[in-house]
Amino acid sequence: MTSGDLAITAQERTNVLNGNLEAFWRSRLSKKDPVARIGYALWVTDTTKLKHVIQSGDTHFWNNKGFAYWEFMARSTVVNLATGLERGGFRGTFSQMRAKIKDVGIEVANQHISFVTHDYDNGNIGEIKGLLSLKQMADYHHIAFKLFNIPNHFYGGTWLNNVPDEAEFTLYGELYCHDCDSAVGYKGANQ
Amino acid sequence: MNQLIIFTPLLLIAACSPSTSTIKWDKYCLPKAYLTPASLSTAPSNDSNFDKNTGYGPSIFFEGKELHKHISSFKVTSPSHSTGNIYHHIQVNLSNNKIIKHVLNIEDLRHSDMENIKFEDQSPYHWVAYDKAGSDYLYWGDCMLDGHGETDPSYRCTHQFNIGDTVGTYTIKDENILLHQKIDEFILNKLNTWQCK
Repeated sequence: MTSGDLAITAQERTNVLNGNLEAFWRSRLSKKDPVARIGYALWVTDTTKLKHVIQSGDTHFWNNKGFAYWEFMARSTVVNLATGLERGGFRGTFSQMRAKIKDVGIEVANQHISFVTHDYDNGNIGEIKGLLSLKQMADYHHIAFKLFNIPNHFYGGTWLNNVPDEAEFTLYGELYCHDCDSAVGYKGANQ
Repeated sequence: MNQLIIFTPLLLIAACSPSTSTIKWDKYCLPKAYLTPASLSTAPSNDSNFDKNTGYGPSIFFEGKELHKHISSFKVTSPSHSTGNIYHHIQVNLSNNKIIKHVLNIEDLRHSDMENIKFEDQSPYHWVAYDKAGSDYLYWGDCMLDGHGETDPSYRCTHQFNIGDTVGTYTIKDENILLHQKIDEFILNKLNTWQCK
């Protein structure tokens, strides 16, 4: 499932401190941290890198979904996040919104660091040290998004199948796949 | 007779609601309104890339405003790095599993801005916090820099505290960290009111 030690490294910490979310999530991806799939898709600056890492990677790790799926997820996440921020009362210019979305991304990364560190040190949560459960991921997204006053139903963390079902939406809201129920943009597996 | 027809369903609803509005965990009947959505979910997952959830208990979310009512110095908002504010809340995870750590070298301990709490650096970016209790140092939590840049001193800690035979863990940013004892007391008092009858 995962590749080696999932402990947070000093380099990963400096990546986030310096705002380099692409490098942080790329490092987590190399360890097969499943949260890094959407994290890297969101923050990679060149989508050809995302395509390469998916096409050369473990198909099971990528949930048997191709580049089109993950790239679509990333784009819709940004749109939904902006909507969530506005619903929480944020008003700003386009560049202020971009900066705010980056702040959210950094907070999510910091929460990921805290939760992974706690999980790693505890030793009795789940089966693998440093590997989070979906509930842990959902919980840290919840507190991260509350920091920015984003309403509950916009927070993220998902275990989407081909199309998210009612239970998934109830838990994970509209953040990661606002239009998934219409299958718009979803071209099927292995694309 | 018409009044009886109207009131009887209402009485039935009132009688049922206490048991459906809480979830039992350990000796506590936790109000659903305080639980995070993940804590309420029973939806199964087909993504085996994530870990199992064993050992991870429910999480309780306390709004900053509620904390401020009980702890008047609790900061509900503070300026965001970009524009606007950020909103401080406390989300406590409950667990029967506790982290145990020991000071590696007492001489390496440094003072913190919290009374009785000492820090032992693990790297320039994170450190372990211990509570000095007599001649012992008890694990208090893990802390990390979380500012903008490696020289920004802003930090946060993930603090573990005892709740009887269980533990609670919450993350707190430096804006409110001096209130950790009062926050612990607030959570303990709240949980006491939620013990199942």
